Formats: sequence, C-alpha cells, structure tokens
Amino acid sequence: MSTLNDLRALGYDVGLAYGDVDVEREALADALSRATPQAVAADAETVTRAAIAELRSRGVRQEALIAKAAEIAAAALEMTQAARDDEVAFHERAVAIAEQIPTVVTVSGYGLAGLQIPVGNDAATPADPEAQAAIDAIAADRPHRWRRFDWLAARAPQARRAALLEARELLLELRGKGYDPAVDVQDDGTGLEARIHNAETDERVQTVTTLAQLRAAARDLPDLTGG
Amino acid sequence: MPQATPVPTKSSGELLTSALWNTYVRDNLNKLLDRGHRVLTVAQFLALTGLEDGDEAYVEVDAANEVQWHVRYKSSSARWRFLGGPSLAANVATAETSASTTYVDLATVGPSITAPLAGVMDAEISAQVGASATGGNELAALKVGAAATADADAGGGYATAATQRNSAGRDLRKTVARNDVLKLQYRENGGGGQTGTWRERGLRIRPVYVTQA
Repeated sequence: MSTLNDLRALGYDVGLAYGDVDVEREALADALSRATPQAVAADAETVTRAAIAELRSRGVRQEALIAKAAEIAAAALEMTQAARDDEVAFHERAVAIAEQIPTVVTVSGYGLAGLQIPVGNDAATPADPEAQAAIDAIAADRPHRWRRFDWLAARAPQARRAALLEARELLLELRGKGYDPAVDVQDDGTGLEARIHNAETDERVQTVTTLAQLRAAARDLPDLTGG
Repeated sequence: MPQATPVPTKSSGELLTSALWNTYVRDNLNKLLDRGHRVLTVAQFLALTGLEDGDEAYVEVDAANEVQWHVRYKSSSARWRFLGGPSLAANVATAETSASTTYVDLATVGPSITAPLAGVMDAEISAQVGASATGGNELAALKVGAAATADADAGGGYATAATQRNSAGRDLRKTVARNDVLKLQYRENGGGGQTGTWRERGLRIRPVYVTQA
C-alpha cells in the first residue's frame, strides 16, 4: 500500500483541506491558556480600568467611582470568566467533532489539481479502502509516468515540446489499440523511451527510443481490440 | 452583520451596572467575535450552538487551496444559506482510457471532492473525450457517496478518434451528506466495443445551503 509520504516523495503536493485534530487541539490549548485564573484576572483588571476611565472621562465624580469600583470589578471578572469558559467549551466540542470526522487532504501535481482524499485522524491511514485505492492509483507507476510526461513536456524547451506532444498523441493511439506504453522521459525533456506492452497480457511488444520509431509503431502494430 | 442588541444612549453621570454591561457590551462583543468575523474550521462550525436567525460564519472548507464559504443561518429551517466563496475544485488533466460499458474508475481515481458539510450542492462536471473508433459515446457521471453511478448524472460526448477532444459536461444539483465522496466515474456507451479516452476531467462543487448535520 502506498502512503501520503510516498506521494510527497514522488513530488506531489499533499496539503490539508480540513478535519485535522491537531489544529483543534492547539486552539483548545490557546483557549485554556486564556482561561487560567491569572489570565482571567488580568483581563478583568484591564476591562475594569477601561470602564472606570471611561466613566471618569464622562464626568462621574470620584466618590461615586470609588463606591462602584468593586461592583464594576466583580462584573468585569464575571463577564471575562464566562467568556473564557464559553470559549473553552466551544473548542472542546470542536476537538470531539474533529476526532469523529476524517482528515481530508488535497493532492496536486503532475496534472492533478485539488484531488481530495479522506484519511484517518492520524493523517496517514486512509479512511477506507476506496481512499487507499485512490492513493495507490496516484502513486502507481504507469499513471504517474503519464502525468510526469505531461508535466515535463509542458516544461521542455520549445524545440522539444512539439516532439513530446506528438509522441504523447502517438502513445494515446497505441493505448486505443490495446497497448500499454510505459513512458520514461528524461528530466530535461530531451530523452524518451517507451516500452510498449500488450495491455491485457502485459507482454513486452516493443521498445522505442525515437519519434520515428514511435510513429512506425503507432502505424504498424496491429489493433488488439479487434477494432 | 451579526444580530446585535442596539446599545441605548446613556447620560453623563449614569453608572454602568453589570446588567447593562452584560447585555450591551458582553453579549454584543461575543456575537461580533464568535459569529461575524472569525474564520472557523469545519469542526468549529459544527460546534456552534446558541444560534440566532441571521448569524453569519466564514468556514474554511479547504485550507490548502484557500477556499472559505460565507454562510448565514436561517433559524426556521436550521440551514445556513450560502452567501459567497469559490467552488471546491478538483481536476485530472491526464488522458486515460477504458472500454468498460459499466461505470468504473479510470487509472487515476477521480477527480474527487469530499463534501465538508451536509447540504445541497451545485456540481459541475466536465471532460474532453475521444474514442478508438467511430461511434463512441463517452460518459462521465457524478457518483455521490455510496449511491450507484447513473446515466442520469452523466455528461456525454461522441467521438470518432482517440485524439479528439469533444466536450462532455453537466450541471447537477445534489443533496449530499457530510463526508460524502463526490467523484467522476466513466463508461463507454458507443455499443461497438470502442475504447473511450477521457482527459481534462474536472469537478466543482458549491453549496446552495449547508447544515450542521
């Protein structure tokens, strides 16, 4: 079975879409740090000072402020504690929910964009056999070689690009005739080797290394599909 | 904007009691912070409680591709109406083939999107198709969760050569459950044993409304 790290090693971008439990746990930890008695007291003091300053600026007499300071402080403490408790409870619910839903990753690269695959909450184990099949398919040698072909062809020097694109169309013709060409393209796009197999029996039929050979193969190899 | 309690005008010398503070300052600030301007993860959105009609939220449904959905709560139906945001999108450019007359995955499964939230979604499917011989009819259909893939959810094209790029597309509106995998599957419907080729396969989804189910 292939893993997400296998995809990364092949050069695919694997990113987080949603559902990561660690993100929610970090948010809960932040909320808990703001809900400690010390943090609540500090925030409540800030609110109290701001409230008293606002009242003073509006002309409330000093004697009245002194008389109400304790009441204002108590209200600020109660308000701050309630807000912090609500926030902690919210993030506790979010963690519990995240633990129950799959982490969904998005895979891009070599002609793939934004493919979403649900994985387990350890972010490594696919959520189900279909998800594993999707990862295996992306990592599989032959489809990957096709995608890498497209990716390299798009980046090849202009003089080579037309030849690579023609080669790609010829390879598609061969696939339509029942062959499975395994294609290797050198990283700079200058070299190509196609090992042409019978798609049904996997028997090697021919190996070509030039565009002229590939044209001849596409023209002359018999149609295995009966078409 | 979130539903806030209108703040009364006070005169100089009036004291701010805890009751006034809680109603007009605390509760309004909580509404502002919790429901109007924070970007929530999917789990945080599902954790919201104490909702009121008109509450709004921004939900990050694809962090890697910067996709956030803006939604507004309707209490009478317990649904969140979609106000804006880009579609979730997945694409497979590589051309792959199949001669199957029943719906199958191609060598690269998909494109596929996992529905982050339950609701009703607008889906757009697209592909460029070719066929190994004259008379091909290449279908690409949307599969939703465990439901069987059907021609009723397919777009199709007619091709006569493998290298053709005829269009196969379809717009659909589907009810989905949270975490349903939406993906394209394919079949050759030409009836003459053709092998279909599908390339530039695309899938986009955007909600009409979502729920916290």
